[in-house]
Amino acid sequence: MKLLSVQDVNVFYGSIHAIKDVSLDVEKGEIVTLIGANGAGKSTTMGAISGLLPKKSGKILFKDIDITAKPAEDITPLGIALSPEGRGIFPGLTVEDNLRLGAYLKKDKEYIKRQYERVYTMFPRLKERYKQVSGTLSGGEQQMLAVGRAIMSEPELLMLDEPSMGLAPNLVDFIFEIIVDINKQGTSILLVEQNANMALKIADRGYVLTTGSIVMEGSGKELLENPEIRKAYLGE
Amino acid sequence: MNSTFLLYIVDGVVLGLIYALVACGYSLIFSILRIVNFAHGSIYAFGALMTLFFINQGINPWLSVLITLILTGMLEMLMDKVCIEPLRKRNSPGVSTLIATEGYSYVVMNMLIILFGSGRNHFETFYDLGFTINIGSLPISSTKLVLLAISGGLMLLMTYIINKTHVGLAIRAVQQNTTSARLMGIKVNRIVLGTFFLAGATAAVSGALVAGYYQICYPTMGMVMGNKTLATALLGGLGAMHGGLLGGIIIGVLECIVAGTLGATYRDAVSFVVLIVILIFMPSGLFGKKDITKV
Amino acid sequence: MKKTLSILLVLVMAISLVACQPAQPAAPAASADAPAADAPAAAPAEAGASDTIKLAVVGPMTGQDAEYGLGFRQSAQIMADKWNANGGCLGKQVELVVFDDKGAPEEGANVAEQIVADESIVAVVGHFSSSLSMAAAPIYQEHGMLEISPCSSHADYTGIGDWIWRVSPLSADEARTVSKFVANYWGAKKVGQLVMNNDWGADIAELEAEFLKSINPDIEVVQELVVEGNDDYGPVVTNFMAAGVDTVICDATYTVAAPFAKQMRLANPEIRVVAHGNCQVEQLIEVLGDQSNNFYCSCSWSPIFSDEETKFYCEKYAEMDANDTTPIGDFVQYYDTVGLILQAITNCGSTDREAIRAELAKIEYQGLSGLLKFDENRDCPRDYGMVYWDQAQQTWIQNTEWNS
Repeated sequence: MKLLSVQDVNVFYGSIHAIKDVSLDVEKGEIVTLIGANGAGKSTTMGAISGLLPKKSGKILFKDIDITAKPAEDITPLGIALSPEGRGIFPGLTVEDNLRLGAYLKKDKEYIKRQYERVYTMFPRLKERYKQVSGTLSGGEQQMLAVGRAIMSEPELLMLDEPSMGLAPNLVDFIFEIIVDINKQGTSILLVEQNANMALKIADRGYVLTTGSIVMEGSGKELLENPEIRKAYLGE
Repeated sequence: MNSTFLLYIVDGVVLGLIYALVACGYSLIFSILRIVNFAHGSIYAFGALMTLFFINQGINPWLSVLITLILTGMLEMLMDKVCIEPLRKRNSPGVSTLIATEGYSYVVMNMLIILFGSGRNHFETFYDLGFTINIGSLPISSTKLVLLAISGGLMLLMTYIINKTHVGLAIRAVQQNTTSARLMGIKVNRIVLGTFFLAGATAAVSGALVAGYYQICYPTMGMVMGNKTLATALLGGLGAMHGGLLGGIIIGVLECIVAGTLGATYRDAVSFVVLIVILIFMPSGLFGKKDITKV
Repeated sequence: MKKTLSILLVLVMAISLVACQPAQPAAPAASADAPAADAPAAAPAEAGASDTIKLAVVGPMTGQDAEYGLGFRQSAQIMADKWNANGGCLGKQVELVVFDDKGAPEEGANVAEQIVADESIVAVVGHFSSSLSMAAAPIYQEHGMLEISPCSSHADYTGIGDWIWRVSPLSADEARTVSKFVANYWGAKKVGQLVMNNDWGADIAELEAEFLKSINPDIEVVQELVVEGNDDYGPVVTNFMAAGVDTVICDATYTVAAPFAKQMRLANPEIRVVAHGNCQVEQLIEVLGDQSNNFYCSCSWSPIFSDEETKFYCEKYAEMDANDTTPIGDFVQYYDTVGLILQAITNCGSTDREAIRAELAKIEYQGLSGLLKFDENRDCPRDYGMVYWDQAQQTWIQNTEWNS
């Protein structure tokens, strides 16, 4: 059973056909990446999977459950968490409150405490600033917060939309190390990235999205060495 | 300071608490939906008249307030379901929603006129404990004290709910980022409905309190009150409850001073003059948050 | 589908706007039925060749004063029914055509236009408030239509033209009554006036202040202006208390007077309160509850009068009225006005407006609200009396008790 199976999904914005017959899967334990240029439809794909956007046609299965028509708030409890593009933190709330919301549906106090510990161990900077209002954090810290919040509920599938955007190079490295780490701890990852180089380096498999359609797929290594890819996305 | 002036201030503080309590309804809805609920005044009148209705059936006043509170909460939720959610779903421009709430306001008010008649109705104070304390030379009736206590208590309760409870956390999340709130598994429509219920409930309680204080209630009682409390909410910074409290007291006290010294014909103008002056210097009101920009 | 729906909605809205005209059932449809007049519109015409005698009854049938409007309409009908039961007027049945001026001056002029367009209407019984009667008067004057207001008390009203008459006493009469009562009967020394900020309130307050001073130059008068819409009279009460007033005159309608009186009496239970005819209403008692004891009102008539006609009127009113309301002086003035006009028509034997007008100048009519006789200004000056409430019952004080 594939963890996530996206089959021929179409999404429209009004009359604009944003993604066309997109199909991809994520197997349990994998890191899968979706790369493409600006405006290719990567975030739209994430929006469709997470339940934020309605789909004109197609099917999405998560653990064999049909989630195509489900709204986002009904999909999260099934075990998917999204760290959205632009981080989507709650700017007026503290770091800790943001994290708490990541596990909003869980009521067990001990569980929550353990999760805080996990996140603070991964991101010591968040621990330092746990009472700070999150809107005043730096870009990198907000990204850490977004990722930390997403793993609070111990999702089976963690989706990340452009986690490296706007970050300084050393923070970019740090974030990708964290992603690998989370995956090692047992979480499957679907990663959307503009930074194709880093993404393909850590990915097991990848898909390439161009103007709404998947044009290529393969293992991370294959795609990294593919000359077309290198020319189009890796700056050679 | 002579005692006449102090009396103006005392009256003003009580009035201000009333304004602040009613203003909460505007703040609650604005912070969650970024719209001004123009039906709030009519719903406040509904709260007062329905309480009177139940009292006239022989039901204990406090119980009447409780029942009315629930009914009014439901009336407000109905407004969301019928007028606001459908527009929200279609991404209608905010103006449409404002007009829809205005329309709902007229429907409610005219329904009240049909049910209760347009005349004034007597409303016996149900919280007159019968004593008056004297602070210095100022007489302060028990009615005023109970009003202060209940208004203050209610606002504290709401602040507690919003800031310290699990559901309050969800409300704040929806206020700040609706999309992310959904991603957290929060059922946003339910939270919005719940906020409307809260707004309706505060409207009902304040309606009953005010009707009991002035001993009078009638279908159009929400019109002037609605406008003034909107000014109060804007003054405090829409969405900031403690701002509404301060804003209410400022407006209430100034209103009473102006009414006493310049003449009662000017009192209604006060809230708007204050509002305009403050907004020129502090556009988000006294405590309103300017949007925190993300890095 | 969407387009069809939108067009349908617009049609529905347009139809409901047209259908929701303010007029009562009997209203403007009448003008469509009226036989076309031969005479030019400007000259006073022989009021149509219809087989009824039509009088227009105008008042606030909807809006804030709708409760008054209902009372006027019903009272006018009682008089019309009385005449009809006795063979009508000049052998014809009396028909009342009711118009709604909504209590809004703009609407007053509209209604006047409608009325003058109907040649079969002999005279206008209305309007209620001075602002409306005065707004409509120029139109009636221009078209030679008799306007006889049962209730407008503003000094300038009848001066608008010689087709403009009034049955109500003048504000000056009411002001004089109240001032004499306060100064002579009560011997007040410091009088507070709660003044409603409109034409009527401001006018009568001025008159009272003058009268009070002329009766007793030592009387101090303190005025507080208020507007409707606010039930908080805290600062006003504080000011009156600080000034040490022993009496308050309410120059306002009951919606203002009632909550004010309550708050005033909470601060000073001994204070004397007096208001005017427009506060003689039941709602005042309801709103005031216990505080209505010893609340005084000037008025021209009280339902406790024991004469035959009062009893007749009250009985008929109770039969007709679904709300169990007690009629007030203002209602009775509409009743009297209809009676007066019908009597004038009978006396001069014609429905020609010129003839009726000439008769009005001579007529003496005993109405419930007093002996109605017009002076050279087309006013009916007369004295008011006073009522006060005790346990929701009215007690009448004849004005001989304080007239010096």
